[in-house]
Amino acid sequence: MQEIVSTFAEMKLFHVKSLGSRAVPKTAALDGEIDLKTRASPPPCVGLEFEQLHKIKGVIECPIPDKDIRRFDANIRLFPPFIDNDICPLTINNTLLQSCYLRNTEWACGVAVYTGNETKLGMSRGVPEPKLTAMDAMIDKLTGAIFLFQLTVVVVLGAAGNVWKDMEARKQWYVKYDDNEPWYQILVIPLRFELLCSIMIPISIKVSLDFVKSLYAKFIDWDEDMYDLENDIPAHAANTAISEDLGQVEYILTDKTGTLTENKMIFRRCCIGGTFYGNESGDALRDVELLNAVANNSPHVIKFLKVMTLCNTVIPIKSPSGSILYKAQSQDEDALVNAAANLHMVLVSKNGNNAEIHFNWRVMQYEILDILEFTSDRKRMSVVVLDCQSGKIFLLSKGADEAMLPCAYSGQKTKTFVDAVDKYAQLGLRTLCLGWRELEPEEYTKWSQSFKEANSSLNDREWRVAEVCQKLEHSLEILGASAIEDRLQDGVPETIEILRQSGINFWMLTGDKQSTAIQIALLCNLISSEPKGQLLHINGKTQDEVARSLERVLLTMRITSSEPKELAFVVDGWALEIILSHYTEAFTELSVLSKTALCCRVTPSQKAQLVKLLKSCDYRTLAIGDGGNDVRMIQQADIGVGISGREGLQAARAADYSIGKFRFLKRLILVHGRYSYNRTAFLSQYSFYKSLLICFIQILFSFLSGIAGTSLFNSVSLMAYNVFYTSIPVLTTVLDKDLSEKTVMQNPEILLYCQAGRLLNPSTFAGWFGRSLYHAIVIFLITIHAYANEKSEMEELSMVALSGSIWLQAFVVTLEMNSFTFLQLLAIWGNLIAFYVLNFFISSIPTSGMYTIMFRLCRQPSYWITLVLISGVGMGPVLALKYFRYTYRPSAINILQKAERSRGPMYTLVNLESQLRSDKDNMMVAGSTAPAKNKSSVYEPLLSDSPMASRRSLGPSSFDVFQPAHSRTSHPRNIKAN
Amino acid sequence: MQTHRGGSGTEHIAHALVIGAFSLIGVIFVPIGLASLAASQNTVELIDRYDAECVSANDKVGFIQDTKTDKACTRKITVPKPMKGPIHIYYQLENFYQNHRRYVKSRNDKQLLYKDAASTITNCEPEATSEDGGAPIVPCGLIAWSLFNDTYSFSLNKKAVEVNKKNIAWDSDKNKKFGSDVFPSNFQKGGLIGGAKLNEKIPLSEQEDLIVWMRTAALPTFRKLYGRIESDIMASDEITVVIQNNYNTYSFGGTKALVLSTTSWIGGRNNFIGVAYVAIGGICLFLAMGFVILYVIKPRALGDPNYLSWNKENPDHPN
Repeated sequence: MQEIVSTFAEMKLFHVKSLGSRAVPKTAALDGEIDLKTRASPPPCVGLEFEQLHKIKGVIECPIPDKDIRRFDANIRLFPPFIDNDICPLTINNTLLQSCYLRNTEWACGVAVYTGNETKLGMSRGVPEPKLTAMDAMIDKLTGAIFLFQLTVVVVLGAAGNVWKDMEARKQWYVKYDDNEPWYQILVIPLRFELLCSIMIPISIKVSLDFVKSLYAKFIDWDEDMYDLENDIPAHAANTAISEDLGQVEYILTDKTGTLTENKMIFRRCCIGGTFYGNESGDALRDVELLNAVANNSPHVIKFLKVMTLCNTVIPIKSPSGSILYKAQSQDEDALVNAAANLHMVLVSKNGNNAEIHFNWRVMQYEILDILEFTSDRKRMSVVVLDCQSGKIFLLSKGADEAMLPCAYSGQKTKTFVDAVDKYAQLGLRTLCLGWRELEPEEYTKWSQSFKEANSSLNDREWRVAEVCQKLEHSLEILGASAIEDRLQDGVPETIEILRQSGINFWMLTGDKQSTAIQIALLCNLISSEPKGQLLHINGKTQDEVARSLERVLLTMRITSSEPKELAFVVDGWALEIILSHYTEAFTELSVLSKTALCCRVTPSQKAQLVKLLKSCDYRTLAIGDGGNDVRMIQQADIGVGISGREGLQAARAADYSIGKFRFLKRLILVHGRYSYNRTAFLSQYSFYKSLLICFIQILFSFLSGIAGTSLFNSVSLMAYNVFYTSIPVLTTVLDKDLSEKTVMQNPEILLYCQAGRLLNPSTFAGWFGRSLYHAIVIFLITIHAYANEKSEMEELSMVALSGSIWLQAFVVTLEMNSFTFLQLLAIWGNLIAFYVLNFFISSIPTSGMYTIMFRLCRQPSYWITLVLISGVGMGPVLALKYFRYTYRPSAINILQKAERSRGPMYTLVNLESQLRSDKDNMMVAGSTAPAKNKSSVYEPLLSDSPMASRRSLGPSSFDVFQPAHSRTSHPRNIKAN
Repeated sequence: MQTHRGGSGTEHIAHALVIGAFSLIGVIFVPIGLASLAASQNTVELIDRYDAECVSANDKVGFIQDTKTDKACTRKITVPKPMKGPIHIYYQLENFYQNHRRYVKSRNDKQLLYKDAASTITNCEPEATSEDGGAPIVPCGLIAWSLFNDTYSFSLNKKAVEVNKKNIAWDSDKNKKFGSDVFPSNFQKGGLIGGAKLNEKIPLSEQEDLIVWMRTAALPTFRKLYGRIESDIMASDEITVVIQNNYNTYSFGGTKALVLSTTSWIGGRNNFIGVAYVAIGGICLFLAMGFVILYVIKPRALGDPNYLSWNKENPDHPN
């Protein structure tokens, strides 16, 4: 395989020509990680000559294909003459996965193991589960209701038609009904009504919605404000169907590392053998004491640095200019190796198993004997190295404090390290403990044997390896702790602040330790310190302890929920496991009460479980993360957002939306989500309105045509009505903006309208239903009266009614649109002109039923007068009602619209901003004097002013007893029937 | 907290716009309404319902179905106002469903237009073919079959008046919808006679009564043009109409009336549009005034963020 060629199948490497027997593939296309990974030929094949390759015979045992790209546990056995019948393990390290790119490799030779859909990529390709937005669900419900209505109409009118037929139509000799007709004639009239009413459910709605949804997605893709210039990553909507859900998000579950933080690790402080470095300057690398210690060859410091340099899987690559670049799979390792290099302990090269280190121009050779890899369960990694000078074997380990400190040799005082780790964690730093131990050669040989066995086991290999590793990792000498800083991304606190203002609850789910998580949460405004906020801990090791702790927190939460405190709870993975398996109900209540939660030390599956739990309470959840451990949570959530970050594209690929930086989330939700919701709300209801309108006219006409199911409109008009006359103007709703983006950003509370589903619900739909009925009555009555007697010619009358509907539609769309771009005006009024052009055209075809009709009508003054009358009567009450509401019962959206319009674009922002700010100041002053002026009361009037305030009923719930009556409304967002 | 009452300058614009819009509608609608009302009032319309009086027998259906009896009937109409020619003569049918699904489709436009398409009788059932030989009926279908066949002859002050029955149908129908080389055949030959018979020597394009009849009406009450009187009629003149009362509306309870009417720019006499316009215009003016009063009594500043609920101090909230 040449360097550039992409691999098509999964291969086992046999022979590789490059730096040592390793191929270095790039797996960006697979997992998005841009660093190189080393892949080696398995031990039995090392050293084979090129000529021998095609003579190899042997057996490879492989597992059933799966999609885990981090594992591949197989065995190889070569037949003689090649090495004896020794079974040798094959791992992912000997495998080239499909669609990898080889780098730094001249050629590689291997055997294909899986091809096609059985490769890891093929297996993980799977069809993603289709997601249904809350809006779609609502539209489906409304469609169902309309369907029932349609059936009712058909049954009632069908029956009435048959009755009328027998009572009246049989007397009408000119209709010439047969007196002894077959029984099935009774079905004719209902079926005719079914045909007439079939357009009641607009088929065009699906097409229109798909079209606008794909446009929403394109708007996200095109949004330059969400373009990550730093990494050259545009925002991308992989799922084009769920933009509206963005506007209805109620819970955001966020990962910490790489999502809130930059995942750019910088070594800041360390504690070596009880001495703290970097405490004053905040940067250990510039700490003179540490530099001195290094210069003086302080043994502790040297050991510490050696562990930093060797205990990792970093590959040094010498660039042509002579400088050394490190390729690391973990950002922490990268930071450690770089820091060590800055302290003159430079990892120069790794050839095969040989590592070369330069320390103050002294060369040290080490042979890496074994790597005890890092897993999230073990939370530590170790390497066994052979010091080539002294011949001694060392075990070097690093890992999380709680995984390392228990491994210390008995007698070592680990108190200082515990303190150090706590102290660093409070500063929001990531800590690692480093330790080492000298191994006796016999001990190592014995252990090595069992390690090899464990590594070649086909079943439970991971678990067995972990068990074997455990046997070696004990009695360590803890050398010290390192502290690595992971800075917050730009704009994270502001983003969280704005999103919380908009009523979204934040949960932070992290694999990191509790103290670090709390620190980061404080830094990014997620929680507030006392006295403004209060953090409640749920902890405990046993089921009883956890239960008590949970009960206590729940009680506090119930009592204090009326106070202005920002309450949050924090729970760790251990307690969470117990809670999720035993106390789901209590925890559900807790999550409903709490706006903020921190979950630490959680596993990927726990993250997904939490998402599921919130979803089961009927909340719209958004999960955002950047790493492979967030994938399950992202897929589980209603909306998954992936950050295309340093941990690769795995999350971004699994997600519905991928963005470059966390701060784009506020724009994604407040701008794109909100507009999408508003637009779809209008579009879908309008689609029903227009279909119902034409159906109601038909139904009304049937009362004047002997309930026989005569269609007033001819088939051409009916077809064109849905396809041409009414579909185009409303599509320009994708350009409609009820409020400018800036206003929305300044008043994020307005998102509540979308979250509570205020713009599309049975109540608003009833409004549209009523409007279509009213308009149908207006059109029909005016038409039949204005075109009565000698004018009541079928084609003319139907065209007058049709024109009336089209005129009204134009006015309705105009009235409902908020912003007027040229395109919108063109679409609305151009459509009206197009209606006439099209009808003039049809009217000039002699064979059409409408021949000359439109020309005749347009010459009649009464036609125009009738249409003006229809428009006036149809729109007058709608306009008056709208004005009345707008002025005397304005919604928050109306107020902001007025603010925008009345002050003009120049003044609006400045004035509104200062006004809002002064209001806020007022509130804060008031808040300090009167503590009960709480922030959450802001939601109260908004919710209570509409009958459709909450889409979930305030059912009696167990915690009512504990709440003062008024808190019901002061926390309406959190009181949902569960 | 600052209070903003009334506001100033641009804040009034939205109010002004809406109030202005309503006033404008009122100001425009009322004159249009008055004009249409005036036009409608100026037309003279004489309606004479004759179906009841023209049948003396008790068995009205039997009377009308009897082909032997003389069905002539003389009506006298006194003209209250002078009528300027041309005066349109309509027959008006009530409770006649020309828009019935079964009826309205029962025709074949191809057959009406093309000479060769005489046997194209789709949609024409049950009046598609003659009963005896199955020969196609031209014009086929229920509409043509039920052609109205009452006739009127007028005399003014005992002097016969000529009724112009030319050009009562649309030109477009005569030229493009009914063939000039298509002649009626097998029409009204069956056992059950529907309505009028057609002269088989005259092509369909000149059978104007048929063409008018086949422009189906959308409503169960409709008028169709019978002819025109080109001369003027003075006030208190007496019109004598001799009606051949042939058409059966008795079996289904329909009514027949003769209508004489002059026209204006808006058409015949129809007060609906005028009344509706005046009423709507009035309501709009009234609404506009109401809005003004409301605005004066209870002013609201537009665009005041203090009205945003989350910026509002909440007096109800217990401290």
